[in-house]
Amino acid sequence: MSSRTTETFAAGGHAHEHVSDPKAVKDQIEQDIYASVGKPGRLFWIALALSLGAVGIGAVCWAYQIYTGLGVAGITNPVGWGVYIVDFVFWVGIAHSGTLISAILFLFRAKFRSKFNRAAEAMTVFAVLTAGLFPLVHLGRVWFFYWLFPYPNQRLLWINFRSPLIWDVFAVSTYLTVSVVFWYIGLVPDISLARRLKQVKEGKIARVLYGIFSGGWSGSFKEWQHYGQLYKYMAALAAPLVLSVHSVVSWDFAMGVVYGWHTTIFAPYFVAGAIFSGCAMVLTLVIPMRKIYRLEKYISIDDLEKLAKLLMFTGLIVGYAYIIELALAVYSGNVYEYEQFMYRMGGDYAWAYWTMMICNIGTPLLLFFRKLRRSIAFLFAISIPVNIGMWFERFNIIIISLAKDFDPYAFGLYTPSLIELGITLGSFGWFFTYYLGFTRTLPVLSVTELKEEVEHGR
Amino acid sequence: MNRRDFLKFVGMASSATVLASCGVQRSNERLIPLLLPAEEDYLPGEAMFKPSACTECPAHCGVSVKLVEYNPIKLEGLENHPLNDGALCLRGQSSLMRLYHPARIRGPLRGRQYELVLDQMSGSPFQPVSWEEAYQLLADKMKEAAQAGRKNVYLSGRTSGSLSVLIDEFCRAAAVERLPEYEAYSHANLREAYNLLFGRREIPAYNIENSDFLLTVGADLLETFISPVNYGVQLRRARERQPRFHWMHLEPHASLTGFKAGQRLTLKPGSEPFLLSYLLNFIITSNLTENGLPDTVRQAIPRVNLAQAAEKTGIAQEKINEITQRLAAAQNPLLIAGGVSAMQANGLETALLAGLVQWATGMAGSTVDFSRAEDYARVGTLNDMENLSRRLDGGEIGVAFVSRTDPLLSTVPAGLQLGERLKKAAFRVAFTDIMADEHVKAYADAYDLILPLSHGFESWGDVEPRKGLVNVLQPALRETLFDTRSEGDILLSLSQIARGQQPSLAYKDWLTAQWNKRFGEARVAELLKQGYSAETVPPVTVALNAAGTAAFLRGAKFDVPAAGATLYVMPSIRSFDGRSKVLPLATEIPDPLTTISYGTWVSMPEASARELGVSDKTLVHKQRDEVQLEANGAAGKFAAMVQPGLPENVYTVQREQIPAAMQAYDPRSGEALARIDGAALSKTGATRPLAILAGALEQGQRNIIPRGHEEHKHGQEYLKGDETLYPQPNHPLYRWAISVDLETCTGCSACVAACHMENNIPCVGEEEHIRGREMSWIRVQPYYHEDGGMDHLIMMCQQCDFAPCENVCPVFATYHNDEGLNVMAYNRCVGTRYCHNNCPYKVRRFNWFDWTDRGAWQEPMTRMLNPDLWVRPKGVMEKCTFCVQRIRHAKDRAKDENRPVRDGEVTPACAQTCPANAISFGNILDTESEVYKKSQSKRKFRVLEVLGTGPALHYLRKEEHA
Repeated sequence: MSSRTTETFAAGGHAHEHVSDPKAVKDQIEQDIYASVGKPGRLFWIALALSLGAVGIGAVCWAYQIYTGLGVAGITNPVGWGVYIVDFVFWVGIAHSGTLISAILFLFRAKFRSKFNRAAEAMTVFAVLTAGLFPLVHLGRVWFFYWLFPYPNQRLLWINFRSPLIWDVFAVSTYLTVSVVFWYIGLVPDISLARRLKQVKEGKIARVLYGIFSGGWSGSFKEWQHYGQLYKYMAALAAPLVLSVHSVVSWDFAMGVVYGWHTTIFAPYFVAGAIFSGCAMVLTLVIPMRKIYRLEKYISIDDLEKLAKLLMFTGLIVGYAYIIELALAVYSGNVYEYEQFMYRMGGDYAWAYWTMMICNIGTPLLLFFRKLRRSIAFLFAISIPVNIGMWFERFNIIIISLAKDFDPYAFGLYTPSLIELGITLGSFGWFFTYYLGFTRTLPVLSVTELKEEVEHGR
Repeated sequence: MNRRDFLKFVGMASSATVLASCGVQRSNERLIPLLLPAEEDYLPGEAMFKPSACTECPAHCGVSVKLVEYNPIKLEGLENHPLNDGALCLRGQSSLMRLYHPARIRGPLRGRQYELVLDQMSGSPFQPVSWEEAYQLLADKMKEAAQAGRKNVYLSGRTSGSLSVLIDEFCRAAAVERLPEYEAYSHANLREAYNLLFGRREIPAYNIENSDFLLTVGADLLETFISPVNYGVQLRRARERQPRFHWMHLEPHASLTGFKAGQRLTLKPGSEPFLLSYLLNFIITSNLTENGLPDTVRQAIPRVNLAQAAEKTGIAQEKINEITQRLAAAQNPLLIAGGVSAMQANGLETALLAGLVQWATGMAGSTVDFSRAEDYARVGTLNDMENLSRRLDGGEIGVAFVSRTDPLLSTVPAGLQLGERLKKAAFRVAFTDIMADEHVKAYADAYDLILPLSHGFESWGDVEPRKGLVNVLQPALRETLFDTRSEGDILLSLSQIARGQQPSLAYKDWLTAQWNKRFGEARVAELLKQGYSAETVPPVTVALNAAGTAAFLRGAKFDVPAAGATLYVMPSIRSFDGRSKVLPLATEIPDPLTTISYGTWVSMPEASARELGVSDKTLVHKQRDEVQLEANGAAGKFAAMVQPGLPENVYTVQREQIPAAMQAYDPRSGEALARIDGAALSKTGATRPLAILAGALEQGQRNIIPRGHEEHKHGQEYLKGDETLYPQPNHPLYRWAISVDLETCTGCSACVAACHMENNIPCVGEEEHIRGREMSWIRVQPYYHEDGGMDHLIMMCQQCDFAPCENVCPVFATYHNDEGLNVMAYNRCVGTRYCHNNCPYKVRRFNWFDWTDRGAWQEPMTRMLNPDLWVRPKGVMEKCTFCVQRIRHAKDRAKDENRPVRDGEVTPACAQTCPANAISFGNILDTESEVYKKSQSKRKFRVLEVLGTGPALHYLRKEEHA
């Protein structure tokens, strides 16, 4: 394999007149991408141990909370929702970019998506799995969580469809189902391919599992034809979910009477924020992955730059929403809303507010510089404050709004407890455990699509 | 599974079931078939009421004890009682906890440190003994002391009624000297002043309800002064009876009474005599005297003109003129001086001048009624305590009986060192009820023998708080909870042992004989049923002792101006002189001025706080700056609290919270001093947590309580709040509603206590309060206004028509019923707390823990729980239900009689106990109902109505802003 071929590929797969042997290129792709599947190295085990340790801490904290009562969390009067709901919205937000990248960009034929879609979809699934924990964690009586589902029972009890929490139950579970199915469909040809790997052939369990999940895929022409249609159909089905899930999550707040929550801009504002945070998380995950698994050939700086542009664009929407919120509070003349926003800027939680402002408005602006946009180190560096900023955005919305709402007597502060932080840590552990497992068992880029591009490029 | 195994299992399961149902379970013992006639006071599942009296403070209001299966579960004021007419204060409501207090002494205890052999095995400094042993020991020690030439003495708290007669009898029989009684608030100056003026060392009954102008100087009528519930009830009646009734209150500090008076004026510390002298001068010059003032007295009255009065007191001349004009115009004026104004270095002068005003204007004999004087006849002063200290020092005292009073705790000035000196008595015996952990050491040091007293609801007795009013105490429980006896029984037994007889007579029989003698046998049964006897008393005409008064006036020192900053030591509306502190609820409920529940603090004006550099962090921060307070040569550390309305250079602190060394007294009359001059505050630099329940004490621009000016800013003026796209809720028969009158509400917080007791609301303690996790369903929210006024907003669930909490509950745990109630199905709640977040009034309460596990109801307090309600488990939201259990009872009754519920038939606990009748409950669909009429008032407003919640609470704002 000549180095020239791979270079050409890395340049976008379009300058292909010099490609000598597409078969060789495809073989190389297979070899490179599947290199990560199999026996992991020491670094992997350390990372996994850390993640599982975090899960353990979170589990112990949760068990203690269930046994003792929610009082072990810092939530109190009047701040009835704390870090748990912040985490929930944060993870649901993270889950957003996966479907956006795979479904919407697929429909718009944005080519660069193929560099990220597998990782982003995996991230989506795991992030929803993580997010789904928090509504359980925050319940006062989690042992009755199934009461939130409409199931027939002899007591003739039903759920309240007027409650945004019920909408949440449906929105999030639908999103999880669709994103799992979408992800899986994309994976089928790749899993089938994996059966050919040496390490899979040797492993007894692996062979069986890959066999089952490949679903008897043989790669016939007819299968490919159906596959292509199904994928398009699923993409179309998943696309509206990108907008719906986070809109519904935003209505948990927007439907409330609390100022700082009760506003009509919440749905688009939350969706933009979710994509913003999702893109940042993709950068956080993909840049180290690219390095560790030596995927520089496949994920080029141009691709990353496109993602950075998306980040910048959604960041601008988010910034606009922040300013509009403020402007409305000042312009409305509503004393409660006005004081709420003044309190955000200058009150007890001003540090959280300004952290959010700097991270979410300030940092994306730096992406206007082409040089920074094309610096991989910078892109990784910028993804972290955006993640932090987006976490604080939810913190500001949820906590500060509740801390000072209507009745001055009932004003009060909230400080997260160690239990809440422990469970938050556990959620990161939970997410990364899944993600690490994914990187070692499944191809982190879509081999099928990469090969397809080579083929198209010919 | 094969056939044989199956048969084996079936056989095993069925025999296990049969076996398990054998045997008698404890709960079966109480099953009483209704075929048998119900025992007296006992109908299973049915609440019974028994009249009794509250003994938590010297006021002795009448109470009705709600009994369920012989367990008192709630106290209510006794309807039509001459003192409290159905109302009860915070302390009275909480006092049921005294009966069930986990720290009640379970049987007689012998102090051990005097034993030769110490029992090393047990950590307790006490050893349980039997009553017979205790009596014998006591009799021996009394004999020993008498032989050694020592005097046996009997010191008690204020005692009235038959028990006082019995104590006298016992003292005669056993040759024991009865000492003057000890009360921290003995009103010594007040009584001494009346003694000087009229030769009566008494506190008269103040007839507020028939007055049309009330002027109070320092007297905290609504908090702890003499009979606060009675004054609250009278004030309500005065407002009802006299449309032009006006109340002006003068005080040197800031008290709840002041803020709740019609007009509050602050005067300079110690300047009271100048104002009163000016009033006397005014009365003389304007010829307002009704009873005539002898010339000798006239000449002795200090000459004070208006300008001088204004200068000395710091009150504007026009305000003083308003006082005099109102005084002159009133038909039945009433002046009451007392509280902090009588408890200062020139307190006796203040009290005497006030008495002279009462005499001169003819109040004495009409609104100041000596015929129904409060029974303080045997109450001594701190001079008597000093006398006792001296005698203890001299080794004169043999056996010291200490009954129902606690000279060890902080209410006695440290100078007397009574606790230390008590040890010099040969043998000390205490009659008391509760020994909390923090008392054990002090009690072990001080007492050789502790005899536990039965609670008033476990024993027979009577109390006579004022002349002509006898309250009967009768056992509400079938038997005492623990091995305790009443003081009467103990004394009878001891007298009999002293006479060499076997103890045989029970106090009940002795008491019945007394009652038969006093009321006649026929009336006793009626008395027991009614609970009290209000007798007509012969009128008393008082005459001025001109010579004595003039002599005193000539020698009096009126001008005792404050030097430096002044510290006022106030009694607490929650614990009085500290005695009610032991009741968990009395501390759980916040102080109505500051909303502080747990912790010790000193209140200071804003200017002082600024000077000291005390942080101006908003009250949401519970970690407050610490200050060191130095006064009277002693020092203590407190949290700093800014009290709006406090005059410059005046600090206040609650008596129970200061060290004994800070207490002082006036040797002239033995009065404890409430005013301590030359107090100094300094910032220590440390901080300390303080459980302030309010996040803010002012409403700012929010107009929670409309204050006359522009109500809503632009964009909202066209929104009234009742516009909606949704159909109005359908309430076919009832729509329960409450109205709260902020004009009459006194902020006394009795409603909060009543709600706690009625609804099994746990006391969660200091730590959770600091975290903001109070559990009370009803709050008394003080809002201080910029104009110096203040309102208490009684905040509870508003039972909204369009309740924001209802539509967000995912499982329908909270929903709107067809009576307008926003009901909670606790069983269905999964604990999302969304309802709490979405409630603009923040009245929902989440069970963060299993409070029972955390000691909210330690045995035997579980017997106090209301069986009509659940004790909510952890993870469940709860809230005010307008006492839905009471509504249910009334509806059941009405259904039996085939009629709708009548107005006034249901009263929630908060409304029931309110001395001011500020809370009215009823069906607002009934246009004849009180709540409907009040909701039509011009003063009516609803809180946050603009949100469109359609609240069912109709508040009536104060007149001046209506």
